Amino acid sequence: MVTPFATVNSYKWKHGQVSCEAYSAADPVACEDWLKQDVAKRVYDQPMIDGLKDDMLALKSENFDISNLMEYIDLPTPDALYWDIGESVADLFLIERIGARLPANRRRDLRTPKGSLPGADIAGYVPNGAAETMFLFGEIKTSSDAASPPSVMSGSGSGMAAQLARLTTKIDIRRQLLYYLRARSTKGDLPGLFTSALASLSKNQFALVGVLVRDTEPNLKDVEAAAKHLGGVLSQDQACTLYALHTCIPMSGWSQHCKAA
Amino acid sequence: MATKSTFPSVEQAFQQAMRRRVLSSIGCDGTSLPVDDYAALVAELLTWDALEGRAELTQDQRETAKVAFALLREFNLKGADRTTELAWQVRIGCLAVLADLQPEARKALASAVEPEPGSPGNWLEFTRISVWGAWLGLLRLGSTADVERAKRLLVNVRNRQKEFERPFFKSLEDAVAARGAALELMGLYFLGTAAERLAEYLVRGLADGAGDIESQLDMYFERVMSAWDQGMLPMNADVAFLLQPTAHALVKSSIRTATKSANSLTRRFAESLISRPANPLFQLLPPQRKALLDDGLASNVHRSVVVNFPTSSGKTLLAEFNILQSLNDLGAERGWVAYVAPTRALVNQVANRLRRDFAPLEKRVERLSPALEFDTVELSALAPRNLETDGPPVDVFVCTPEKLDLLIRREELCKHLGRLALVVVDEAHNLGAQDERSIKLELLLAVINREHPASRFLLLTPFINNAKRIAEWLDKGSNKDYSVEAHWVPNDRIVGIAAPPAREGATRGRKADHVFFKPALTSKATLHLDEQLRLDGVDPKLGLTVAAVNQSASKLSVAAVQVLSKRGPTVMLCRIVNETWSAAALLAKADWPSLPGQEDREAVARFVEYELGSTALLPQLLRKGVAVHHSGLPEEVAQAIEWLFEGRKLHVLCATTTLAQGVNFPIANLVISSIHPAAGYGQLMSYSDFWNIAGRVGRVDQDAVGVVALAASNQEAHSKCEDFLRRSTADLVSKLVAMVADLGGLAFDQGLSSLVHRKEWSAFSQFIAHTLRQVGVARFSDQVELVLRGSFGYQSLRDSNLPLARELLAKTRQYAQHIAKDMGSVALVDVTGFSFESVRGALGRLSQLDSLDDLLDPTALFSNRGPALRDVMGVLLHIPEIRDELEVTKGMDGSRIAEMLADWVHGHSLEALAKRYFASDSEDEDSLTRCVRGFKRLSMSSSWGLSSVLSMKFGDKLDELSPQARQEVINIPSMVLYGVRTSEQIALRTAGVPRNAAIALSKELKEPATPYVLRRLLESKGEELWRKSLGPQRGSDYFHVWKMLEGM
Repeated sequence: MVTPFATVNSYKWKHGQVSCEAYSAADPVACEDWLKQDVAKRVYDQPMIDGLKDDMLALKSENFDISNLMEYIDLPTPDALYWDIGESVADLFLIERIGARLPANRRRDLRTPKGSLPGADIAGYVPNGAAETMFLFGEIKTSSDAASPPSVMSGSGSGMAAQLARLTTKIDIRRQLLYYLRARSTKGDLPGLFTSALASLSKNQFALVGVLVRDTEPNLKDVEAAAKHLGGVLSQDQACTLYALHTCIPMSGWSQHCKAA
Repeated sequence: MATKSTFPSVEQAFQQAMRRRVLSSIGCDGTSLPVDDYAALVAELLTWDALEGRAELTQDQRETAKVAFALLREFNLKGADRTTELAWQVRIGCLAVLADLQPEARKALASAVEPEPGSPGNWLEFTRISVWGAWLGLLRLGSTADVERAKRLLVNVRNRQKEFERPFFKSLEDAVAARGAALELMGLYFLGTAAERLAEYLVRGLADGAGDIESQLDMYFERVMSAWDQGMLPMNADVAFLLQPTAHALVKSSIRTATKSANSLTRRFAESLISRPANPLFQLLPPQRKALLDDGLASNVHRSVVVNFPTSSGKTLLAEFNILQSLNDLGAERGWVAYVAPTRALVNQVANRLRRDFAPLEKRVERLSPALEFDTVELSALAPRNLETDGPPVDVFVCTPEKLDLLIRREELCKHLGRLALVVVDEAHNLGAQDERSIKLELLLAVINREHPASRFLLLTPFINNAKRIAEWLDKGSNKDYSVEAHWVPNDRIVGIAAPPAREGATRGRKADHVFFKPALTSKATLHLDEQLRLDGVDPKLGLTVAAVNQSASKLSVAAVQVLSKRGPTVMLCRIVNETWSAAALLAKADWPSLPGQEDREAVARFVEYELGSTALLPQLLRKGVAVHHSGLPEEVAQAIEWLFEGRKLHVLCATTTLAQGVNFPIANLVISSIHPAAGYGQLMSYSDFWNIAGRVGRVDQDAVGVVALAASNQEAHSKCEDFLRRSTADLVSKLVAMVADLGGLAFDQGLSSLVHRKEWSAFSQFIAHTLRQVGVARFSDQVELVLRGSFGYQSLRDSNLPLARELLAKTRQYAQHIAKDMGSVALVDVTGFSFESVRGALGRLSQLDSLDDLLDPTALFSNRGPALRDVMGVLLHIPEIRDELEVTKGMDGSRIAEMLADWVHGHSLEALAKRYFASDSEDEDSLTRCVRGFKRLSMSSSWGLSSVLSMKFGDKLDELSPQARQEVINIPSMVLYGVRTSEQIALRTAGVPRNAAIALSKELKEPATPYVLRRLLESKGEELWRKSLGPQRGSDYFHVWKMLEGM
C-alpha cells in the first residue's frame, strides 16, 4: 500500500541548512485502511524471546538466581500506544518518500531503559546521490496537542530540536546506532549499504531528519521554532529536514484501527 | 569489505593523532590540533567490519584496529559516567589487543580508574561496573591483582544478586523497562562468567576443569549477544562485540596456550612465570607468540634456529624456553647448555636473569669469568667433585664466546660436563662485525657444529636480512629462522635531529633558552612529522650561550638532554670518555626535580667513594641524579649505575658506546652527540650499534614515545645525520670474506704464516690447529675442505668467488702441512689461545730465561724480588694476540708491568694506582679513568698470558705438585684478573663481591669455599657479616650494592 499522504506538500520552508516540509492525508478511508494494514503490521512486530529460555537455565548452572529474570522477561508486552503507532507512520513515510532503508523494524531497541544515553528513533540508510548511501538518523514525535508548536518540539532535554542536536554532537550515541545498524546489516544488499554509508560518514556526511506526526491541520509554527534552533546549533554543512505529517484521523482513534493481527 | 583506502579522512586523522602524540610527548602543545570524531568512529567501524566471522585478523586489518585504537585513546570523555568511562577503556583495550599491541593496552589502561562498583542499590549499574571492571583487569594483565580482581568482582555479583536484584526490578516504572533490564542483566551475567573463565584459564591453563576455553568463550558470548540482541539494545553492546575476538586473542597470546603441548619442565617454567610475585607474565609479545605457538619453538626440534627479532621484543624469554626444551631432551643423560653473550655486563645480566627464572625449576646457572683460564673456583663448577661444596651439576653456563672457545678445547672438562645440548648466541649479529672477535665466534660455532653433532644452536639477533641463510649454515636440513616482519615494533619512537637556535640576531653572550628538534625519516617504522619543533626550557644555569651550542655538538647535546630529560630517563651518547665527564658536570649544574631512590643513590655514591676515592667526581654527580658510564669505570661501578638507571633513579646517563650492547635499560630519550665513533676516524657508527641502543628507547612497558635525537650544530652535520638514518638492514657477512682479500697481497712463496700476526688470522690459525688435532694429520689433507665448509664465510665465499675460495683452501692445506711438523706446539695452541707461530715464539723466548721457579710460588712471584714476573711479561709483550692489550700506558716493559701487577694483586687502591702509574699530565683524560681502563685491560691480558705461560712452561708437571701448591699456582691468573691475593678472595670475587669488600670479607672466612657455598653463606649471614668486616656504614653499603649486582 502507498501512504495516504499527499504528494504535494502543504508547506515548505527553509531556515539555513534546515528544511521543513508538511504533508497531509486527506482521505479518511485510505488512512484507516493503511493504519489497519501496513502500520499495524509494523507496530506489532515484536521480538521473540523464546530462545532465551534455555540460555537462562544455563545461567542457573553458573550459580546465578534466575527467578527474577524469568519473571520480568516473560512480562506480557503492553498494547501499542499512540506514539508507537506514530513512529510506524513516520517509518513508512520515510521508506516511501525518501527511499529510506530501515534494516530492522525494532525502534524499541534503540532506546535504553532509564539510560543516561538516549538512542534515536530512526537509524537506517538513505541514498546520497545516484551511487552512494548515507546513514539516516532521526527522531520522531507524535502529538495531538492543539497548540503550535506542540510541547514535544521544545524542551531542553526531550524536545525534538535538542535530541536531533545531540545526535550530531554525542559520538557515543552515534556509535550505538552504528553498531545497531551493523549488526542488522549482514544480509542481502545491506552490507554494501553500510560500507557506502561509512564512506560518506568519513566525509562527515549523514542524513538527519525529524518527523512530527499530528492529527491537526498543517501549521508552519509546529516546526518553525525547532528549525530555527537547529539552524543555530548544527554545523553549517549538516543539513536536516523536519517533516510534519498530518493524518485525518484523530489520534484517539488510532489504536482502534491499528491492532495486532 | 571496506578497505582503508576508501577512507582518506581516517588516514588523515590517524596522522593528526600521531602528530598530537608526538607533540605532547616531546613537550610541545598539540591540543590545538582538531580531533576528527567521525574518523575515529569510522576507524572503529572498519575494525568491526574486519572482525566479521574471523578468528584472527590479517595484518591489514590489524592496522585498521591500530588506527582505531590511536584515534579513540585520545578521545576526551568529558563528564561521562563511570560505566561509560569503564566501557570506553575496555573498548580501547580491545582495539589494542586486536591490533596486536598488548603492551599498548597495558600502558593505555595503566592509569584506568580502579573499578569498584560502589553500592548495589542500582543493581544494573552495579553489575555493569563489576563486569566491565573484570574485563578491564583482564585486558591490562599487569599483575596477579588484575586477574584476581576479575574473579572477585564476579563472586561479589553472585553473592549479592539475591538481595539486590528484586528490589531493583520493583523500582522500574514499566514492563518494557523491566524486560530490557532483565535481558541486559542476563547478558551481563554471561559476560561476567566469560571473564571468570578466561581469568581461570590464564592462571591455570584450564577453565572450569577443561582446556576448551575457546569453545567456552564462544558459548558465553553467543548467549550475551542473544540476550542483548533480542532485548533492548543495552549500553555498550558494541564493546561486547569487540570483546569476543579480543578474548580469543588473549587466549592465543597466553603463556598457557603457548606451552600447552610442551614438556613438563617447560610447563613448570610457565607456571613459575605466572605465579611469581613480581611482574608475573601471563601474555607473550606478538613475536614471542608467533615463535612459540605458531612456529613451535617451545617444542622445537630444529637443530639450528635463528631468532631475528627487533631489540626489546623478548628474545631472552624465547631462549629460556629453548634452553628448557634442550635440557628436557637430555633425559637421564648428563649435559649442559652454553649461553654466549658478548660483554661481561651482558653475561652478568643474563646469568642473573636465568638464575632467577630457573631457580624454581632447580636448574643451576653459573657465569664464567671472561678470563682466558680456569681457576680452581671455576673448576669446582665445571668439574664438581663434592655435591656439598661444589653444588649440583651446572645446567647452564653463561660466558663470553672466547671463554666458551677455551672450554670447548678443554676435552677433559667437556667430558665432565657431558653432552652440550644447546649453544645460545646472544647478539649474534656480532658474527658480521668486522673485527677479530667475529671470526673467532664464527669459527667457534663451526668447531662446535663439527665436534658436537648432537648440539643445537639458537642464535638471537636483531637486524639481519639473511637469517635463513645463517640458520642453514649450521644445519642445512634441520633449521628454522624466526623473523619478525618489519611492521611489528615493540614501542613508538621518533628519531630526529637536534639543532641549535639561530645565531643570527643573537646578541653576544646571549644564553640559549631552546633547541630545535627536526623529526627525520628512518629505515625503520618510526614516527615522523614534517616540521621543526622548538623545545623550550634550556636551564640558564647550564651557562650555554647561543654561540656555544652552534659551535659544539656536545654542548648542543647537553642542552637537548636537559630539556628532554623532563620526559624521563635520558642517555647522552658521547664520542669519548672525556666528553661524558664534561657533559655530566655541566648537566649537574641544572635544577633537577626530586627523584625517587635517594637512599640507593647515596649507597652507590658512597660505594663509588670507597672504590675510587673520596675526591672522585662521580659521587657528587650521582647525588644530583646524573652519572657517567664508560670503559674507564670499574665493572661493579658501571653495573651499579646501570641498576640505578634501570630503576629510574637517575635523570641522565652520559655514556660512551660501551653501553650499546644489549644492556636492558628503560630509556625515554637518547641524545647522540656524534655519529662518528671515537675509533676509526671518519667512520660512521655501525647500523647495529645505533639501532641496538635506539631500539631500547621508549620501552614496551612505558606509555611514552621514545625520542632519539642526533645532535647537528650545522647544516653539513644535519645532512650527514639524515643520510645516516636512512641506512637500512644489511645481510650478515662473514669477516672471513673480507679477510681473504689479504691473500692477494701474498707473494707466491708466502703462506698464511705471514698473516697470523693479525688477530683475525690468528683466530683462523687456531681453528686450523684445533681441527688438525681432532682430525689427525693423516686425514687432515682430505678433510680440510669439509672443515672449511663448516664456516659461514667459506660457504659464502664459494657462492661469490670460487677461485678465491680455492686459493684459501690451498693455502690452508699448505699451512696445515707446515704446522703438522710440530704437533706439540699445535696442542699448545688449543691451551693458550695463541697462534702456532706465537706459541713457538714464546717457547723459544721462555727457554732462554734463567729461572722461572717463582711462577710456582705466587708469594715470591708477586713480591717482585726475583725477575720471573718481569721476564714473563717481557715475553708476553712479543705475542701479537696480547701485546696491544698489555701496553696500557706509554713505555710499558716487563718491569713496569710486573710492578703494576704486584701492586694490583696486593690490593692497592685504584686511587693509589692512578697516582703511581697514570699521573702523567700529558694525557687528555683524568688519571683515574685511565687507570681503571688500563687495569681492566692489563688484568685480563696478563691473566691470559700467565695462564698460557704456565701451560707452556709446566704443562702436566703441575700435577706433580702438592694439591695445595697446585691450587695456588692454578689461581695465579685469577689473582691477576681480580686484583686479589688468596683463593678465598678469588671465590668471593667470583661470587660477585667487589674487590675491596672481597679483601675485607675474606678475613672472616674460616676455610676456602666455592662460589656456590659462598653465595649462600653471604646471603644467609646477611648484612651483619659485612658490617663486621667492613665497618657499619661501609658494610651496609657494600652489602646493598652486592645484592643489587647479583640481582637479588
